[in-house]
Amino acid sequence: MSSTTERRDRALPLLVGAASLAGGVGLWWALAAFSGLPSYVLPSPGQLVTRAVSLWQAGGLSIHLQQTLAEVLQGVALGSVIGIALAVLFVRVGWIERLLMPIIVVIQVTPKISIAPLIVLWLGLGIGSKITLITLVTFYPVLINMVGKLRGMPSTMHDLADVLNIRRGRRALLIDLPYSLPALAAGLRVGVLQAVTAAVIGEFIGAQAGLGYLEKQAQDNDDIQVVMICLILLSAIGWALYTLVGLIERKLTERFGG
Amino acid sequence: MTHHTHEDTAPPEAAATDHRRLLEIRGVSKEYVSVKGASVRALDDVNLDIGDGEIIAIIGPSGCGKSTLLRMVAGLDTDYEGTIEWTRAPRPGRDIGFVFQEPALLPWRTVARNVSLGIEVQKDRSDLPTDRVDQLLELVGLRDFAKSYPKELSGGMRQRVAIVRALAYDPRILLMDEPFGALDAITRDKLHDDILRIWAATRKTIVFVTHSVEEAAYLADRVVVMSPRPGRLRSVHQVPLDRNRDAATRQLPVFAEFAGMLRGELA
Ligand SMILES: Nc1ncnc2c1ncn2[C@@H]1O[C@H](COP(=O)(O)OP(=O)(O)OP(=O)(O)O)[C@@H](O)[C@H]1O
Ligand SMILES: [Mg+2]
Repeated sequence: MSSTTERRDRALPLLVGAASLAGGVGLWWALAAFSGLPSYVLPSPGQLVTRAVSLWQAGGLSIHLQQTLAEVLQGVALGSVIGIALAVLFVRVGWIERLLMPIIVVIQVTPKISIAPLIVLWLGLGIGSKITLITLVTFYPVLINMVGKLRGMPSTMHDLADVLNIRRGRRALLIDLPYSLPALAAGLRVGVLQAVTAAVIGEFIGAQAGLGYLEKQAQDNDDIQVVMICLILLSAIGWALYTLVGLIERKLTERFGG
Repeated sequence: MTHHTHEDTAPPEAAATDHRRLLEIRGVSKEYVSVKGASVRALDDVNLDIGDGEIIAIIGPSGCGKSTLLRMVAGLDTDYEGTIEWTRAPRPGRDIGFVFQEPALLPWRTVARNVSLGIEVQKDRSDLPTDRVDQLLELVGLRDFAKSYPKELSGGMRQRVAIVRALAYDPRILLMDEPFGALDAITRDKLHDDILRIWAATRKTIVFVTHSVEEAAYLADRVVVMSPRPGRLRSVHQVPLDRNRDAATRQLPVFAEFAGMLRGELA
């Protein structure tokens, strides 16, 4: 296969995606222009852009964007580290899994939105409570995916480690970790989307900054334009992270997969 | 060396006396219990002495317990009846080289780093030459692939990497489970001679499993024939050839006769 057809194979879905997105925006614009809905109920795309630009120039957008990004990135990083560490421990040390798994399951089956008030009450309105919430939702899919991968490790790899007398920490670092890294990305695929949701939930419930906080404020002021701006930015964050994880997954599989 | 001329098949026990005994397998039995609760007797009362520096081939039909026995010797399976006693206990991670039925390479390491794994994880191996890995890769014709990743190699190339990985840290005993099964005839013949050369230089004890009676006859001092259900030692044969073996050896009538006899035992 030549590289031009390869490029076309990759470009085509991108084109179709862009077209469908453009179609959606067009429909929105038509609805705003011809449906007779007042612009404070359904602003047109143009109005929204103008409002966003003026908000940005006044400095009223970037702090919130930065806040939410900071929460998500730190929460996901912490969640990944905890997920990886627990996965390696669970697979090697059975009693730790038996001890912790019930607690973890209880936390996971409890709706996050119902845990959020408690965490905000305990940890305050600052970034800490959001990071905690995000960590709570991301470590789980990472853990589950990594454990699944590690349990499926070919028995000869275990035998090899035994014959070479590679044990404990060294075994985790030299064999378990690199072997299971591709599964980290699979876990994060689910994890990052839940992370953005968790950030917004935390910011709704109690915060001093963040896109969720801004959106909630705008809702209280009946400012539909700002609500929509926040919404679009949040979905852009989600999309960017999802794409990034896809990229990381490809790299990890290339580097560490068979 | 006293056994340059074993022209006739010596009784099995005679061989071990040529070498100082390294290993004594006594009354070893193993039962696997299946998920449904039924038990399979994989090995039944296996007795075998292995001499220091000896090359032993294990042959037998599929499922007769060859891998199981080899894993026990390696210490990978410790759940069995009977005893396996060493004259000098193998040092963990140092004295046993194992070539698995599949190559089992680490996909995230280059070929060279796969081979050096066993050296890396040991405390002090300054006794080994610094270009040890290069030398070994040269030996199996893979020097140009030192920086490649396992997925970039063919199945046979991977198996060659697995063989030199087991040799890299200079173990005292080399255990190989069908190491040459996936190789083409030419590579296999070449590796046979490599193994013999390594043996001549180091006098390592080598125990290997094979399905090829020619391979067993060409490489081994003694051939252990196993029978299935339950896995037993059916017989142990002294190979009627001296240690100097080369391509011409395969043409000898005594070689063909011995291989034919082994084939008969398997049927
Ligand atoms: N983990 C296991 N659980 C249950 N039974 C097993 C297990 N491993 C091996 N067995 C059984 O033990 C017997 C011997 O197996 P083993 O792998 O040692 O045979 P083998 O001689 O190496 O066969 P092959 O030539 O096909 O590799 C077989 O009957 C097999 O079904
Ligand atoms: Mg086997």
